[in-house]
Amino acid sequence: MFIGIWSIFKKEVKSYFNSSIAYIFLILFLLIPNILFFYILGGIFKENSATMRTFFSMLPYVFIIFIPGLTMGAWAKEKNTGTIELLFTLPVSQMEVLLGKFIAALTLVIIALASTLAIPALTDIFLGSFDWGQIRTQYFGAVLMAGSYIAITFFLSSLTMELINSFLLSSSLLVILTIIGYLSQAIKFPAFLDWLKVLFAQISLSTHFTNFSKGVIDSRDVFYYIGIIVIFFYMNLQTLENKKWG
Amino acid sequence: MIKVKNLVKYYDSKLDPATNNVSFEIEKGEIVGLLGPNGAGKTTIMRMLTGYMTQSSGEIYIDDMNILDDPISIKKLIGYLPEHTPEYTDMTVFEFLNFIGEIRRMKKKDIPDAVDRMIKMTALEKVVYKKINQLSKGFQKRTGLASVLIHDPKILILDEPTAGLDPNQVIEFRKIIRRFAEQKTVILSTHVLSEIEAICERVIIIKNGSIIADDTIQNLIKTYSNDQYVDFEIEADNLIEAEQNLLKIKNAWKLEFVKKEGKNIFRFRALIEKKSDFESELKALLKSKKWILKSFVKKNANLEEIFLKIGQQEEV
Repeated sequence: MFIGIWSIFKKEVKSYFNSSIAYIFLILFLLIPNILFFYILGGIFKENSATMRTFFSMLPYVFIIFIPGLTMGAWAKEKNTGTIELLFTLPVSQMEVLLGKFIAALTLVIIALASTLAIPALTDIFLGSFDWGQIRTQYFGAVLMAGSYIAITFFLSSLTMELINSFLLSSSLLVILTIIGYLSQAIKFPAFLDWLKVLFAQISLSTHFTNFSKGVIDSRDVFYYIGIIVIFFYMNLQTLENKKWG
Repeated sequence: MIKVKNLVKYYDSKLDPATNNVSFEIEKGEIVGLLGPNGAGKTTIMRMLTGYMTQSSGEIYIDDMNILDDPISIKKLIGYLPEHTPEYTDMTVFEFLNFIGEIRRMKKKDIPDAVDRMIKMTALEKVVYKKINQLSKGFQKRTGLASVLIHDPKILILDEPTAGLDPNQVIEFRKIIRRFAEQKTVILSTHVLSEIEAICERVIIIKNGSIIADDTIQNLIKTYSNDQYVDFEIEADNLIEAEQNLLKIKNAWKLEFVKKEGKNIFRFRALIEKKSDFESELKALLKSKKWILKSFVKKNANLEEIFLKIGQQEEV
């Protein structure tokens, strides 16, 4: 099983770099959040302490555009070019292909996130010491959240043949799943709709990142993101299997 | 080697099945052609044989293994080249062949030799380090063929393998397939009859998802054709007079002028019944006109005619 996953992983990473998606993703990911962090939202200067809370609190919104941009072709491109027929007539299971693709996309996100480590590293040297325990938790949470975003966008990519449809579907669903978390806090719900407020907070991708962005690990948040990954993996495999029987 | 029993595939339960009760067996070493018009169900059969699609009902056994029980093991035995030759076109030929070797779980130490062998066999030396999207259709097809042969499969399945190739490429492609087929099983689908005649020993004719004939080409010709083509050249005074007189021969149907071979030498083709005395009637005519018969060759009716005839019989 490992050889199949490894072969697909290498192919996907090469494909990201061959098609320049990886470079665009890395450059934009490095530029946009940093500009927002330092110049627009105030970042560490506003907080008046060496923390990256502002940076991490906007990450769920940054991922809404970045992750569908990276993963929109996961299945849609394979279907569009016909390579899905090549892939599924090779001696490799659907799970191996899915895992290989997932790990490749997550690796690229991890590289992008790692590149932002320059912020705490430089701050630590010139401005003041960071709480590295908090930083570790924030990055761990960001990777988990990215995994769930990737799993969701992979599933939606399996439903369509067109890259643009895949991107729009993914971004739309991610907007909904992220914004409802913000709404659950920003809007005053009438008492009889309290259950809706709780529901929004529980299913939102951004709410479960709040603790991580403060540097706190809550096992419920970890299980939530793992649960999202498992559920969307299952639905993705079902879509591929249905296509085989269809 | 391959056993297919009552294979049925529905894409939509409200529509007719794409394949309907298809059954056949193919032994090791056979080269079998699936012949049928576009939309007959050839690609669907191949996709089910290769595990890309699952049948609605029926059974497929490859090397005595049921395809639903162990699809991964069966896929290891097969090399499948779909019609549109899907490839990762952002890879170079070298990268693509290495990727296929690795994902097919070949031993790491065997892959470089296998890649070299395939590159030589399919004459890809000049384009090894070029990206596939920069290659001509012919080279892309050769890359596809190299990728399906790299793991030395027991079974080769080719869907419309020469579609889009120029005549020289077609000849080369057929040579490679024939060389491979000496010890293997090959199934190829086509709607080009000359393809079947050039490569296959046996033909399965499919129409509307069902098998309407399954036999060797020789047997099909023997069974279905009472007709022969005759190619002949005569030296006559002029073409118009020659044609007018030849048309009077009762036993010749579809008499047609083919081309002028020299001064006053004309080539004709006629369709005749095998038992007819066309030859003696022609000679009598030529003798009366003092024309000369330069050549006279009888040919069995070709697969095209048989294919049309079988199709028409089925419709009736």
